[in-house]
Amino acid sequence: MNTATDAPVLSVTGLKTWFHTRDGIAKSVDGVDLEVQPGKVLGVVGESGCGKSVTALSIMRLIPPPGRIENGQVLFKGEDLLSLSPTEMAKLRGEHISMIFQDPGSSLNPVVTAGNQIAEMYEIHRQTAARANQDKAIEMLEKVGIPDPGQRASAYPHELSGGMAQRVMIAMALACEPQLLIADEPTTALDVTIQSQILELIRELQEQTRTAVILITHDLGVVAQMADRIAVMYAGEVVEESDVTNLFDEPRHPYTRQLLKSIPVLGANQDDLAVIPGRVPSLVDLPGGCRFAARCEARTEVGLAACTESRPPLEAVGTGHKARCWMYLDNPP
Amino acid sequence: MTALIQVDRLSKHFPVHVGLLRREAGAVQAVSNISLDIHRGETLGLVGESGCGKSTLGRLVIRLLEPTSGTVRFNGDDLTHASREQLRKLRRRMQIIFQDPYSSLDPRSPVGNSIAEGLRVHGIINQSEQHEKVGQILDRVGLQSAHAQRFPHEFSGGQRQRIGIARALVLQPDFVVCDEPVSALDVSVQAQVLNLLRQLQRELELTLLFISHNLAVVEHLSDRVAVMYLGEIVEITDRDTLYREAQHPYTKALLSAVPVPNPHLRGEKIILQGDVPSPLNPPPGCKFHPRCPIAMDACRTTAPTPIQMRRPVEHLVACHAAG
Amino acid sequence: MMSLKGAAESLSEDIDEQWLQAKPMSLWKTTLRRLLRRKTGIVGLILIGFMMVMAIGAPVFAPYDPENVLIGKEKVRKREAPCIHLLGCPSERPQHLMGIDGNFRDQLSRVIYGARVSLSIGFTTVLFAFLGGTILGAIAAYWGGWLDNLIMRIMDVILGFPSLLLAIAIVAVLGPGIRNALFAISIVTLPAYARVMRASVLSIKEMDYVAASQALGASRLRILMSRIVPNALTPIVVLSTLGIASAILDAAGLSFLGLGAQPPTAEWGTMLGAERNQVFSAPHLVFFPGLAIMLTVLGFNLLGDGLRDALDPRLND
Repeated sequence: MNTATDAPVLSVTGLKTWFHTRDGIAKSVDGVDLEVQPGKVLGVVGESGCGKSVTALSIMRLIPPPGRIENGQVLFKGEDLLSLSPTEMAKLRGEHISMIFQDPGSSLNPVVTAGNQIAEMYEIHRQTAARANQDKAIEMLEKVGIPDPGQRASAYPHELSGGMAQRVMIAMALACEPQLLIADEPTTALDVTIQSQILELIRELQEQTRTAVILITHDLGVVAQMADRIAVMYAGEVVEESDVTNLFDEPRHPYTRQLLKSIPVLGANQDDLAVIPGRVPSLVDLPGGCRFAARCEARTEVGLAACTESRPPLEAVGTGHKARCWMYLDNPP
Repeated sequence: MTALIQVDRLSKHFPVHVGLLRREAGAVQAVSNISLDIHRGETLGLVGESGCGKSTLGRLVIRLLEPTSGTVRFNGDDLTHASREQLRKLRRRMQIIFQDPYSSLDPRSPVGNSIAEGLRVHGIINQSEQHEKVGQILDRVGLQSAHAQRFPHEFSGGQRQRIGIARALVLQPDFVVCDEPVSALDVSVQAQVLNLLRQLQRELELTLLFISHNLAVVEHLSDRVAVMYLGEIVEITDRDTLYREAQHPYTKALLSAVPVPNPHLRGEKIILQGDVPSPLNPPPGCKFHPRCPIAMDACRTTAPTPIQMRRPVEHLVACHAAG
Repeated sequence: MMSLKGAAESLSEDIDEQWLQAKPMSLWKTTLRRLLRRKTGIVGLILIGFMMVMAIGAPVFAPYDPENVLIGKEKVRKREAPCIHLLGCPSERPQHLMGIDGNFRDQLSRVIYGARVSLSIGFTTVLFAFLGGTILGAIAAYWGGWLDNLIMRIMDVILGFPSLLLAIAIVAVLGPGIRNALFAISIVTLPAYARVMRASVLSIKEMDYVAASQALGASRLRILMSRIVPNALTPIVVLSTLGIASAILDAAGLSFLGLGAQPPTAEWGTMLGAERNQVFSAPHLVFFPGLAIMLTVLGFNLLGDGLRDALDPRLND
């Protein structure tokens, strides 16, 4: 299989999702381009407020008012999701595109047993008989590594630990073998030993079923371990995109570089951590020009006027490596 | 020289009440029989996952919680049995920084008021003197004295943590418990606050108990590290030894599980089976044995006592297989 | 590599100079602003304001003394319909905007003076219930144990009775009159405040800022009064506003039954009670007092709703 020429499972271009609030328009996602190849893991990394979760919800068309998808194209297997009717979109969700969230405690229905929540997936999407659904549900529970699945199927969410509940969510998400799984901070709320169990599980299942995965997280360690490609987001835009080794070996965008230098790493024996000065700009009041300019160390060294005047485009800076920075472009204005 | 903090066989059980008449049906054994010393000027890191009792231990050490049994000594003075007046005087010398920047400040008071509370309680009632000290400490933590009149909701998470630090340090304590001080902050803000803590520790010669579930952060700041599991310390030694030559199987699994931001290091991980058992019903013998990859018969029946490894440095491991 | 000083400086840089110039926004100021943004809050405030102005300025606004019997002084018939000069009533006849009641008194004046009685009952009962309830609730939550159990079980017993019936029973024992009505209504309203305050204090007790005060060495009492109580009062504020509304209704109910305000005192409920059999022959005597009650209660309900929304931290547009 030549994955280089396979069409991407998901291709997002120019996505803009804005929130029309009383205090102004918050441009949470402001022109995002993403691509996921079949069977591969795309890691979307960024801090809170960068727009990564809103991007995921936009793809799933689950944005509540006052948010609105203003612009863009979301091609899933060639079809633009933004042009589908709500019914058509609902058919896709759960069967072709699934999503799992951060806190299983609030994402699982507290009054339905674990088994029934999984069985419901088959009921809705495959319209198979109740008995068969129950059996398949128990099978899924086993697949996601829950011990004693026959018993656990009748457990309610509050009776399950965080790790177990997250496994149930994964079971629900993968029940109908979707082509794309979006995982929004799936392990952030879990202890580190449970986190490694869950990540291992996602990896195994993903390899078995060849599901494409978008893994959203703020944890650079998690994406380093799990992703094939990484997109780094800042203030509503993708600022760097690359395959995982390249991103960590040769980060190009100053934000990525400064971020990598500011996290404590096991065994690194750092003195003071590098600090990114200043704060993330308000999404309601974004600066003209590069959104990272005010905090960029490279800008003070290189001193390009363009940085504060115009917004750099996301362009290639190497094979399969893009960055949104004037430093790498031949003709900054 | 006696250690600044001496913890001796400290335990804390939270009874569970059921029924209309609230009978005691059992107890959550949050902290079980812990003994350790914290030396003057050092940063002792305390790591563990949720439910291991590290936050409880942090609060016990400064007597924000009353222990079920055992004692804590502060600079030789018995903290656990101190009278109300003695306790009030001792409180001045030990403080705490909390995890959640959103619930650690009184939303109805200007932050200057929250910071000055310690001054007021300990007799510094002169308004201008309070004002001056508050201004100084705000400056020290990287804010401005004009911020004293503002309310907590007007600040960002990182700034609120700085205010929490200011409040803890305005009385110039000797000892500060840092209970997950950066866990709720964004990555780029974490670095600012960690650097600040390190700087302040050096300048003010503080002794710190640094509690966190994030091993990389603990390694960054600590001199010695203790690992907790279900209310007990399973391993304690100096930082470098722990991170390079951990002995306890739980410590090894914990270190292995931390996702390293380096794609070249995607090696085999030690994946523990099962969930963390409930502190209501801990397993018999060694509490870790149901999940331990090298559990032996002895582990199921007898709880291991800490063994000092054959090393020049202090390295205690509570494991039958150690040594 | 950024030094600490650099980090501190850059923090100062990004602090808006404007922000430092602007006044600090306490939580009350923010709440007031949010309240005034919504129509519910504004309408509620207007209605209440109107009623209060009427009550306070009663001697100014009322054309007659409310207990002034006009028989012999003016040529009016018993229960005469309203005579409004602007709407065509001949100007020789004396103007009575709301008509004459069954005792030859001007109803407009009685409605205006009635506002005094109704509003003062509303405020006073809520004040007593608030004071009693919050103190009991705070003690129960803070000290816990058997005291908590005792206080809350007593509250449960009171809440076990339908409130109006219990109020009637208390007044029946003590005798009719405004003072006893006040007492009765306070008693039946109090438990709700105790419960809400207890729940509020229980959750605030666990907050880190309370532990911080403890760590700083503050005494339990100081912590309770300066940190816990001010923060615990938020839900009580909403409860009080709505409570005034129901207290006014309860008072009107008691008076309607003859157990509250006694004749000749002008009170909306009494007025309704006296004329309830004339609904079809003299509807103006039932309509106007009823309208007054409705507008006042509506005003407090709207204000309460507006406050609840304004205080809810999650409802950020």
